[in-house]
Amino acid sequence: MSVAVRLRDVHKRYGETRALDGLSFEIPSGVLLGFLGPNGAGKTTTFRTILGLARPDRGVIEVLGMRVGPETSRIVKRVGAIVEEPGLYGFLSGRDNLVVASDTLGFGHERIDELLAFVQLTDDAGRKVAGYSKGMRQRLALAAALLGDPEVLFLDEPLDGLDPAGQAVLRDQLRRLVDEHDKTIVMSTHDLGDVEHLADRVVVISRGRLVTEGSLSELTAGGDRVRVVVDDPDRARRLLAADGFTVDGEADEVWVAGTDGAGVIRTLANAGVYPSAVIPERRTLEEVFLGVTGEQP
Amino acid sequence: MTGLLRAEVRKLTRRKLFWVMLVILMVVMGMAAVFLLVVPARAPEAVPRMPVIRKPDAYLLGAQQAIGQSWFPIVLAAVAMGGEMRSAAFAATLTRDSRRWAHLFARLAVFAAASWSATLLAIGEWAAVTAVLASGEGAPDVDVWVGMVWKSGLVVSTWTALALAAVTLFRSLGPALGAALAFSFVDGLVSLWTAYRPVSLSTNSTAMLGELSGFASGMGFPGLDPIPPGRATVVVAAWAVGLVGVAWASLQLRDV
Repeated sequence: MSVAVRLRDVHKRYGETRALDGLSFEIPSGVLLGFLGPNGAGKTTTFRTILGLARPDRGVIEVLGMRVGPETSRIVKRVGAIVEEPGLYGFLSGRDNLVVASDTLGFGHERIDELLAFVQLTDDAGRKVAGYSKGMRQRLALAAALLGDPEVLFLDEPLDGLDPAGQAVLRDQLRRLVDEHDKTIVMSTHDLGDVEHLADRVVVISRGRLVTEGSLSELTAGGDRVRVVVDDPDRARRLLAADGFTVDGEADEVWVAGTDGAGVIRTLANAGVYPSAVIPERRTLEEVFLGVTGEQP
Repeated sequence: MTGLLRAEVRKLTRRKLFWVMLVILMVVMGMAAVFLLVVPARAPEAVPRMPVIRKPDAYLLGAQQAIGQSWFPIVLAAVAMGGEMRSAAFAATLTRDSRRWAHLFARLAVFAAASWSATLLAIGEWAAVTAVLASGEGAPDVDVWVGMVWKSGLVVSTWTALALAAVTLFRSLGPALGAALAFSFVDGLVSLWTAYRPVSLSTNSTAMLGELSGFASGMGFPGLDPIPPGRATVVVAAWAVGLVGVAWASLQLRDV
């Protein structure tokens, strides 16, 4: 799998504040990456340095194999971005916003109708954006970011503040961009639920440093307990404890620590107790996040 | 560049800012024309120290008054560009490092052209009032009118460049607008100081059109040497180049 974005030892200071402190990670092509971190972790600064909006003090950033800095002007033709708030003009209609964005960025107008349809704004394209809901603005901003048919999209909290219906529509569109259009999406968010629903991979940073990364399944695996579903939990607990397992849980809950589950099944089956399920414990993304950052997302 | 210019024109003409300011400018110029041309002639007892400006000088006074409305290009450019600086829209477009000069030039060109158009309308309005209501006879020669046109373009471009420089330096509308307007005010005030007068932007802006000796002596501040129009033009052009340079450097050398 090719690498869409690569950061190596990137440093950025604002006065005395170290926004990025040796940040390094890679993003494979064709994935939706959840970019997580507590407030002030450096997520927006990371986006801004990748996009050439802020110059790193040190380090190397590559996007699609090109170096940010010397090749920024080539890179930006192949990426789209919504950084911080969507950059839309309230006094223009939705369509005029896309026309202005096309003219400003040097793209043609031929994709505007297609993109308005993709973000489901065709019927509202003639209305002034000042009258749009936040969800409609985010979708229009997404359309603007897609004007140049970019290969990589950087979206800074795109679902923030949307109502559930708006979130659902935008989630679906983002997922389709990856699954059907082979885009790579880097999405920062505070909402771990969004990441669990959407992301293929996760990068977590804190204080400008990488604290963990991996696929969602890799990160949420790693609980060392199994949950045993059985008709007679009291007897199961007694049998497992007698066989040296560390057993926990009350009532119907039977948790066994330090095992992959095979030994549990063997012990119970030898005693004529057949569990209907032995489920490895998975950590939630929130537990992973709190574990590696010690802070709320 | 064509696309950038088209985008700026679309944004400027679709927002209320320009049209509202244009109406205000026309009202201000109309009131000033009546006060400076009509009242001294028709009711001199109301303004005993005010000289009567007659044609053809009255036309030149109108051009000076219009050029002196520095608030128009400053507010227009600062608000239009400052609003973009506040959002990420401008920042995103500036991602293209190599085109920062093009973005700056497109905004300078469109905002200055808009202010220039407004200034010419204001000069035209004043000229109409002068033609109908002012006393005296005659009108400036064609070359004087041509001079008014291009010189007013240079002046509004310079004030526009000042506003853009302020916005790119402060990256925030309020401080940028305040600083640019404060400069225009202080520059006019300090131009009474003989050491600063030769380089004062506002004084040289009006001096480009020539001096109205009778009006100046009638209003006070006698003893100030007139600045030759040619020299004044060079000074204003130097201001324009310098301010564009500040704006460009501010964009080029700092994070967006």
